[in-house]
Amino acid sequence: MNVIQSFPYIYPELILVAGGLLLVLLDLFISNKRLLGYGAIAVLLLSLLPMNPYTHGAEIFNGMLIIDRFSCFFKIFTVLVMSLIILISQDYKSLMEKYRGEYYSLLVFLAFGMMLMASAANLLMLQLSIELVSLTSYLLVAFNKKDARSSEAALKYYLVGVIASSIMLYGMTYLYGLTGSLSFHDIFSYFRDGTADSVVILVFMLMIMAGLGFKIAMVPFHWWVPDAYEGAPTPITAFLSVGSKAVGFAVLYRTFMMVFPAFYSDWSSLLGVLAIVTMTLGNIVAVSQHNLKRLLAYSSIAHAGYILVGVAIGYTNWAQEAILTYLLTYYLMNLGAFIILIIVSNTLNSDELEDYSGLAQRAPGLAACFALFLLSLTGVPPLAGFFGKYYIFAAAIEAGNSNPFSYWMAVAIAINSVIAAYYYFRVIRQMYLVEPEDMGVIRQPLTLKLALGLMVFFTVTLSLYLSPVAEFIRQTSSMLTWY
Amino acid sequence: MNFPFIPDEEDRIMIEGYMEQIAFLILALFAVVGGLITVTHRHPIYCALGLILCFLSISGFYAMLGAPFLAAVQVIIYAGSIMTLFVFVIMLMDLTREDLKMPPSKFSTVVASFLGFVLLLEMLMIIGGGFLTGKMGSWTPEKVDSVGHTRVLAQVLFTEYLYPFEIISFVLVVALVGAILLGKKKLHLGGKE
Amino acid sequence: MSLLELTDKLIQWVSEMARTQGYSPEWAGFFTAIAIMLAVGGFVLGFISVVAMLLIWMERKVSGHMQSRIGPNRVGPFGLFQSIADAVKLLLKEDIAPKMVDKPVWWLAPIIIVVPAVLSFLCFPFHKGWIPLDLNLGLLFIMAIGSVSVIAIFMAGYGSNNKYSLIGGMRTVAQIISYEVPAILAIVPVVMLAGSLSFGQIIEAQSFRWNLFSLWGIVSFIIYVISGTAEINRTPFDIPEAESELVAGYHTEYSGMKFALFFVAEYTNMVIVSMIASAVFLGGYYLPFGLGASPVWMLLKVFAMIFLLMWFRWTFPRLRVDQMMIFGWKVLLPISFANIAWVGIWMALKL
Repeated sequence: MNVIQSFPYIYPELILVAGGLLLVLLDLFISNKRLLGYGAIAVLLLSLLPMNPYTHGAEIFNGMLIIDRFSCFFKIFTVLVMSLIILISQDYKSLMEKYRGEYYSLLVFLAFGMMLMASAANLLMLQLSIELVSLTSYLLVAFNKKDARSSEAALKYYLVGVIASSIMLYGMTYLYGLTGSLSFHDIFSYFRDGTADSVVILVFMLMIMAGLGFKIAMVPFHWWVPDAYEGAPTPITAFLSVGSKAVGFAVLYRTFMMVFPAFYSDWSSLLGVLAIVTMTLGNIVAVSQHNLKRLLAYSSIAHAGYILVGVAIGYTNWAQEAILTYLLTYYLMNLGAFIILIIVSNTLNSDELEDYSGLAQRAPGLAACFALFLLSLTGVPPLAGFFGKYYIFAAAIEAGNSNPFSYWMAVAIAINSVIAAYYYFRVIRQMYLVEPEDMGVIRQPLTLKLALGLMVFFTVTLSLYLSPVAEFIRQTSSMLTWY
Repeated sequence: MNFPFIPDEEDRIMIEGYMEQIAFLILALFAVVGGLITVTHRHPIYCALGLILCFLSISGFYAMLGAPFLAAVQVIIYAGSIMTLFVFVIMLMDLTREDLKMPPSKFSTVVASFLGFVLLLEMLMIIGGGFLTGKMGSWTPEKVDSVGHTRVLAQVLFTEYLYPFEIISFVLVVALVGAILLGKKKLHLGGKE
Repeated sequence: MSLLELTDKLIQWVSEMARTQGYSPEWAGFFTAIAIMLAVGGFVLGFISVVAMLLIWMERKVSGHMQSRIGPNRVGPFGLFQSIADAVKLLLKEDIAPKMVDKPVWWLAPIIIVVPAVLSFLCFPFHKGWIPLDLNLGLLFIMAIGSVSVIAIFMAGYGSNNKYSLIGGMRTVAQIISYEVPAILAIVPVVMLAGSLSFGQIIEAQSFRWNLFSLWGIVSFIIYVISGTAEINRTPFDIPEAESELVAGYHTEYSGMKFALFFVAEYTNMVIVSMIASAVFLGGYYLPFGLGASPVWMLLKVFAMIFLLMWFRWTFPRLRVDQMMIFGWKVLLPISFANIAWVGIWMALKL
């Protein structure tokens, strides 16, 4: 589709861009930054209107972007994540009041970048959208410029990110040189028709995997995670652990499924091994963490490992559904956990585990919610997290021998769930079984309570009544466009 | 270039061929030496100088390959950006010589050489394996020449690649907002600092 | 023409020699190729040295008369050979290298600074068809080449290992990078209207009506001349080498031939800026309203522009660094953007 015909398909993105720029402008005149935050949420929700989750798919801008149900799912997901992040930033204390306007507009721009990532179907678009998301993320991680840890986190994040993205760019140049095209479709057909040597292609895939692995915190590229998560403002940490990871998976999945189907056996076993390593490493290191942000950072690495299992299995419908379901449940429980972190750190100025001792006595409701999210993250049966894990597990078993590591991955998931249970329960033990050192009231602002309520509500609802969501996801994944 | 001095057409072509080869060899030498300096030198200023040597030589290649616009843009952009790099080096780093002579870590040298070797092998495999007979793009040199190099670039940029082009400008907007945000000195409106 | 004939003779001699010495035709061709390259290089180098010496004399004369002095008047008629005497002096002077300089960088800087100056002459439009290389992208090419000189200046500033030089170098970087933007943007309307970046076509488009004869043309011209002055570090923008603050800025530590090279580069750059201004705004080799065309007009315009730059030097006081930056980014840049927008709208309405 050419440029003019493509415009109706990018209304959501246009709304975000226009809204974000408007917010930058309004920031000059409006001194009540809270209003700007609500404006940003309104912009995000407005962008939902032109979306059609049951679209039949279109390639727009001469094949630069693909609009299909898969990308639409991630666009909706983006809106959900970002509006919640903005909501929980409203009462996050450590942000500088004066710059909140820019903060909200940057989050809107970030949503724009994530939407682009979700539908990129061209190496150029892929690189640009990742660049947009990364750049904005670096800025937001560094947002507390008075806080040295924030700057340090941003610097580390930036350096790792730049290296990863340049490696990916290098791999892309090889691909371009080899195939003479940037579009996924052309590269795919080149590989389908040609007799490309898989050893050569494997190196390009590794390079591209490096860039995408950085976004999803896959193991060789995970070492920025703990520092960046700890130093960043907590809402941004929440974003990094859910938002950028989710679209990272979307891109990873789409790229490998669309561009390299001819080399499925290579990359699927590679990703299988990486998935096992990622989840094991994340869980084992998380056991020894005393800072909750770091703990959740390592746990998010582990969860990335679980989702990677779905990517490694690849083409089965089970795998697609598993990835989407897992991301959705992970969104609910992980953001919920971060909301609690924000509430507590607003009062206590600390994310250390020992400061959570006796939370059940100081704020019983909060502790109960936290326990719920942690149980869900562990994957305790009736809760939403269980279904996510179950889907992944089932996908791995169902794949059988199509991936040489699928049974191993299933075993790894089982073992890792046990390890994960240890450190999640340690937090619960700290809250319920340890006596508090002081009984000061924990202030719970309305916006955070609202966000928390939403997360709890949906976690519980999904636990009890998953079928409509599962149906929606099934429809989404059945329409993923391949060539 | 048209040289009036050499009457014989064949001689002229041969001599021009030699001149091109000489220019290519000089540029290639500079590019490789610049790259080596960038990677191996311990002094950041020299690294940056090596980098610009390398980039300028590459822009010479572009010019020789019939892409003068790319060559000019390469020079403009990298001259500016490497100057900025210099400024950062000077302002952010302590250039006392002792620090700079810190030996590189053995491990990273070994790993990096190994990876570099793998990539070299990769490159040789592609070139030697006949992979380079990839698909011909839609813009052949003859077609480009008939329309004009800059015009082709503009046409492609503003039709096929319009959306990415706009995205780049948007990335720049975000970068600007961020730079202003992080670079601003005063933390509070009317504050004490 | 005699110089060209001489070059021709030289090349033919090399060719003959190579053949008679028993080399194969391939080697003879190779030697001839090298001879041509060296001859062209030598020719251009000689040309710019002569031009630079002439301009140095001119500057001294002009400044002398502006200050009610006579200026150089001893060596040769009207002191014309003063510059040659100076050049000989500089060539014969001892080449002093301070002990603590960063040797490679310090040595390379004066050589590198001459390169863009020489290369820029590649597109000098003397007359219709008399352009050594009428590149499609001549204007962009010259802009690109010009931006390399900032690296040399910075190398000189850094390599001298002297705080004044370093400050001078840093100021140059800030100044040239800032003023390059309005300089290019000032030319953009011309390029838009001519539909080309080649000097030949831009000048042909002005065969009747110069670009200067319009509101946007005047604005562009003024912006270009200001930013051109800044780009070649001349007063009132000679902040990088402000004598009263920085001794001589980046070339404080240079003497003898190296200093001469900096000097040559400075005056050559002046010619280039004047050349661009004359070609782009003043109709190049054309007289206005179709009154005629000749290389003489081109040279006259270039010299008039050079005279203007010299006039600036003896008229305006030096700006402060912050004033300079503010002027570039907050005054020139918005105006040039507005100018481009205005020309764009005008073109859209006209078409």
